[in-house]
Amino acid sequence: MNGEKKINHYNIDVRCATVYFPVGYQTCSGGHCTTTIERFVGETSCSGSSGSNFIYNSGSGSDGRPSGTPDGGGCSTCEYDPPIIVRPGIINNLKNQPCASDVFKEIKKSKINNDNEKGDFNIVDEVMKIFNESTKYDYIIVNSDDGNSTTGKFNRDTKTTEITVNLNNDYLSRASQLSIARTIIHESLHAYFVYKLQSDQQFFINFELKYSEFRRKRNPNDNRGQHELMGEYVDMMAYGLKSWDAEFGNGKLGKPLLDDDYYKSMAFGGLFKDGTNIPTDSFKALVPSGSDRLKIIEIIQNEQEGINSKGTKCN
Amino acid sequence: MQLIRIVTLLILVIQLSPKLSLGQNLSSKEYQVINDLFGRKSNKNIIWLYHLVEPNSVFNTILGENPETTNFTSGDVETFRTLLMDFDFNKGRLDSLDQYQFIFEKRKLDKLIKLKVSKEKGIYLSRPIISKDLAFIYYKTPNENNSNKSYNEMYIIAKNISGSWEKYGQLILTARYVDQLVK
Repeated sequence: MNGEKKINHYNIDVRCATVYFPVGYQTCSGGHCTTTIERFVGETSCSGSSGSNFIYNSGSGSDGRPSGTPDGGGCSTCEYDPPIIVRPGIINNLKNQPCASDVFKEIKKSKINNDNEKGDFNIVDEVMKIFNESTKYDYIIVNSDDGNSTTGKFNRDTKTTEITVNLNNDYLSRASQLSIARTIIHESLHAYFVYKLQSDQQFFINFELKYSEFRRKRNPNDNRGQHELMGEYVDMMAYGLKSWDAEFGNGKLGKPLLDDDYYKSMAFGGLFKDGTNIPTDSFKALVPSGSDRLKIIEIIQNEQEGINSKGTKCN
Repeated sequence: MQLIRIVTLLILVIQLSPKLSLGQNLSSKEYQVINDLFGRKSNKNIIWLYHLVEPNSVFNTILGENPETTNFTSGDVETFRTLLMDFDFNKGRLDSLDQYQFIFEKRKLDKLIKLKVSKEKGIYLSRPIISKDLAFIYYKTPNENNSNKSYNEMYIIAKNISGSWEKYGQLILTARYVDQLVK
């Protein structure tokens, strides 16, 4: 990041440029590591018509102003207003998985056409926008030997809710890019629900009314309720997946796009009762035929295993 | 002799049953919050609770929090600033109560709320902390330490509306959603 500002010092034409370097630390637990950027250190280099040069080394304080002293010049009275650095809201910590990392970056970039009936709400855009703009919610994507999952956690120190999407290493080694894109979209929807449940009271109340009963089952948590709710988002997930495939998957390779039903089948991935292959009630309601559901499950599995898949394998 | 036996038995009962020792078990008002939130008024199916009440120290996370910087639900900072300012989180009292291990009393619970002795099966609840028409309750599902199982830990905020307690919002401490692959 660079900032440049003209400084009026002793009526000399002085120009400064600031380069900010991230300073942070890495913590590892449960087989995966998280990098936290604590602050940015700015180095400001100034040069003037008198031929003098100045270098400041400073940390960015809460107001973003440098606190160091000039080195090599007498510029202590300079009026200087460096740019404010915005802490990143989305952190890509995928390690040794360049293909999955690219898919994630591409999903963030993929655009949706507004002529589609669902085009006014791109779920991926919506999720990424929330985390890009929010100062209270962070989205972190990592990979580890744990299962594909989304975890929201309140960090007392930073006062933020950190939502971590984990992709399983074994899955990444086998799955097609299309499957990985689907999983990222699915996990991002969990992240979106965590955000909405906490920040939108009406969303919370509606969720409680419709899905709190699922906490009374054998696995008393909200996973089942969220997977039931995802039935309402299947079309959006399918269209998000198609958009990615058109721009970065088959479309990029010059191959024809897949049938819409294929993307829709993929969007049902994860919509199962906990720990089983039994479809959720919303899955069954959307696809009443048992044989049709079996075909969908076969498509999901083919892409997941990278066998007979129509998407290109990642590794 | 008989009197000595009775007194000895009484002392033993008091010592072995901390919930009786100081008469500080959950109040009927606190049971009402739990029954309204988890009983027949809001649900149709049985819910299983772990039989021991979570200690009051579970509230330490929000003691002294600034509502401006806390992710309370609804996005209405004003509402929650007022809520927290009005709230009687008497830390000293909470800590003093922490030394006792309470057991939910089956007879005071709604018929749809059942108790489990196994730590792996039931939902964990704290006593509700009530202030005026609002209440906080700590809620946790099993599988906290199993990273391959879904898990929720949160504070539920309840509001008394026309004499009945209803869920009003939540502050998520941990929410883990694990997606199984197709087998």
